[in-house]
Amino acid sequence: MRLPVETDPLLREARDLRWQLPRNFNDRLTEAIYAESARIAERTVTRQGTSRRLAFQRRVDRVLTNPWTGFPVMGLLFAIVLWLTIAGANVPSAMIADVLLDKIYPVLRAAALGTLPAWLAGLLVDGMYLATAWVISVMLPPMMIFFPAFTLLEDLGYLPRVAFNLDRLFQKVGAHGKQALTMAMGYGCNAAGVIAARVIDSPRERLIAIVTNNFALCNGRWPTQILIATIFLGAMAPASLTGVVAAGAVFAVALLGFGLSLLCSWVLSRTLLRGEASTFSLELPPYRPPNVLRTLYTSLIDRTLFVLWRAVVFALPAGAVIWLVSNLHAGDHTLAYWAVSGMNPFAVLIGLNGIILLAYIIAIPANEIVVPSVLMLTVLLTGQAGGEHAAGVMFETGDEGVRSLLTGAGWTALTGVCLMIFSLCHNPCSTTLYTIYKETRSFKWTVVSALMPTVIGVVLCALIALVWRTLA
Amino acid sequence: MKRESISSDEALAKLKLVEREAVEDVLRALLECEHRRHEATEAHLGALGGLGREEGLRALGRAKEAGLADESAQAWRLTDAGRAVAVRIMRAHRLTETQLARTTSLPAAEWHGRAHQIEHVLSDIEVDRLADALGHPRYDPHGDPIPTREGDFPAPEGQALLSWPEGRPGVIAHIEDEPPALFARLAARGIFAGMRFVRLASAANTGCVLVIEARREEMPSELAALIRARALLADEDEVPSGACRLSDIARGASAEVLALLPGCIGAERSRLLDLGFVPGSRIEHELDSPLDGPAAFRVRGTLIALRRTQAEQVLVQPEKV
Repeated sequence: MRLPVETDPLLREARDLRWQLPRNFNDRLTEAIYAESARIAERTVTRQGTSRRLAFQRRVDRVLTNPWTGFPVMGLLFAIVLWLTIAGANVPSAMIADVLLDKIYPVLRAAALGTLPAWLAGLLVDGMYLATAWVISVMLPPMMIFFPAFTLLEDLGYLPRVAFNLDRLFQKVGAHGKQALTMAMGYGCNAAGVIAARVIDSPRERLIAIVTNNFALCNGRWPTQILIATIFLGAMAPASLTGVVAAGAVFAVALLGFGLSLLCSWVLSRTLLRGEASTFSLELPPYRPPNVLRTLYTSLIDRTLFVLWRAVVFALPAGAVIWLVSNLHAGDHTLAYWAVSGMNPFAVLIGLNGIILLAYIIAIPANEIVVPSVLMLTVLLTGQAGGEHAAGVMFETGDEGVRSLLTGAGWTALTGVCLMIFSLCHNPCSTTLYTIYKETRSFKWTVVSALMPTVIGVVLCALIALVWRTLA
Repeated sequence: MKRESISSDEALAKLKLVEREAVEDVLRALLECEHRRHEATEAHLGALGGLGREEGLRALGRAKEAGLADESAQAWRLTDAGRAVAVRIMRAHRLTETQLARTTSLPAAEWHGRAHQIEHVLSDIEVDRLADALGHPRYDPHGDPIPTREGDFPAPEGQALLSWPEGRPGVIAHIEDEPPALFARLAARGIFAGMRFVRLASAANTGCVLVIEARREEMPSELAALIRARALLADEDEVPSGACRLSDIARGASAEVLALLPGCIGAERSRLLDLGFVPGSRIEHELDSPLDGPAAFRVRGTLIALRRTQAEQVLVQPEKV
């Protein structure tokens, strides 16, 4: 009401004409632009006949998105990638461990003990070097297979089809179909998955994708899953079926993670993040033959080395921490002893043990070092090492060695299963949490992202332990 | 007049927030009565403003004290200053609804409630900024004109749908968003202001049967009562015969796009236009996803997946085989 009467005749006319424009004149402008560009394209662009290739792509699409074949193909591809990773990683893993642990470690240790004070030699070689060596030998081989395989599927154009197939499920739980894409990214690294959630426009659905991304097993957790599945579940099957059973178990855990992320999305969109599913428009790009060499190169440089470097950076201080808590004494016992025996009653209740919980606390910076931490602490606290090894030293190599070490420390198949579940459902690593904070700018959602999976993990493990012990 | 409006603004500013909101609500209700040429009785105003009878009376009293409303022979009317306040609130409300519709994924039934909270706290400058950001829209998602900064807007058009003659094509001019439960039912069926329809013959007193943008809808009276209809404007065509929605096209069949319907708004509308869902484009329904999820359409050489509710908002003319 600042200008009740327009005095300028031109403005007055504009004001009157304003209401006489057709209601959809904005659309008509866009349409006119499209009509014009189509006309230009028709006159200037010539097309080569690609109809045969198009027809082939259509046939492939029919199979990959068919209600009867779409999901089995999806599961099968995923299982094959897992199986390749598990089966293929064993041999190089043992080779790396042989070099780093059996050959280099004794030399380094002898050299350090000869020149440095004993405590410094222990901290550097028995703590930091061994933790790093373990991380490299456990993680590098699976990553070198898993990441390129996944990148190949991505380059082929298959992942958008996965989002297409799964959209209905995500829509039913009030989430966005592209959450399938952010989860797929999360299978590599949850921090990357959280950043990838930017492709979702609706803020509500983006938050759901961010908070539930942790249920996509990240690369730091695959080795844990694979190792534990192999030595505790695979070993229960005949030798020829070990790989298949282990892959099946890991696949089941990954599937559980997918189910949990749907469940949590459903709960969130009915409680904290109420709202309806918004829209979904996704381009399904044509299938392209992937450039295998380039794929290998980029997934090695961008992903494998990046993630490995991160793991090493976190393994060095974690190795030092492990060595310190194992060697510093408070009263009659080491710090590690007090922490482990303090947490043990609760840990046993949920099917785990105090060592695992302590390892998870040490490993908050990076999930990759959970298994190395567990092994180092086990060696220390159960005193299985025999005389020649110092406290807090990781020395076992090979699946059989790890298995005998852990069963010697009182692990059962129940411990293995609960560890796999807990590895799926616990707080994201500190990098991911920091990324969540940066993406959401919200302390509250960062806390929710940390607590929700941990609570679910504790409850699930407690239930499994209860049922297992009742039946056994 | 300017002085009067300042003093009434001051009078408004002196009230407590809750009281001011009640006064503003009752003024807006008065404005609506004015437009519909209803007699503005107290009971009617209280109901329109969403206030109880007692509270409505109190708010009217305060409005009168502030020089915003007058009473004569049981009927209330707005003073010029009161009309200015009411138009300002209406502008804030309709702009906010437009913003919610365009930029959030809030369900349509929640727009009104949110806008009702926000309209009282926005300052004039904030409202102007909102209008700038939205590109000065003329109509809100319910089909109502949004007053300009100068307070200028055309009188509401159209008549009740229930009195619309059978067989005559028309356009949904306005959908009342109260009560919210009924409005939500219309929105869930994908019925929005701006859609074209033809009323079919139906048995008396059973609501009405419409063909809305090539889809048959049976509408019970309580839903039809929310809708006002107007005649087609000179530059609007009838829905061509044989047209249907994109979601009705069988897999493997092709169609030509006729229009994006009004239910497709905001960022989604721009995105679909960008992807080539513009009149004249040829579209082939190429894939269905399992579980009756989205379908994929080939448009201008690319394959685009859309959910069913989105495909329903595209009007097409199927190609004859």
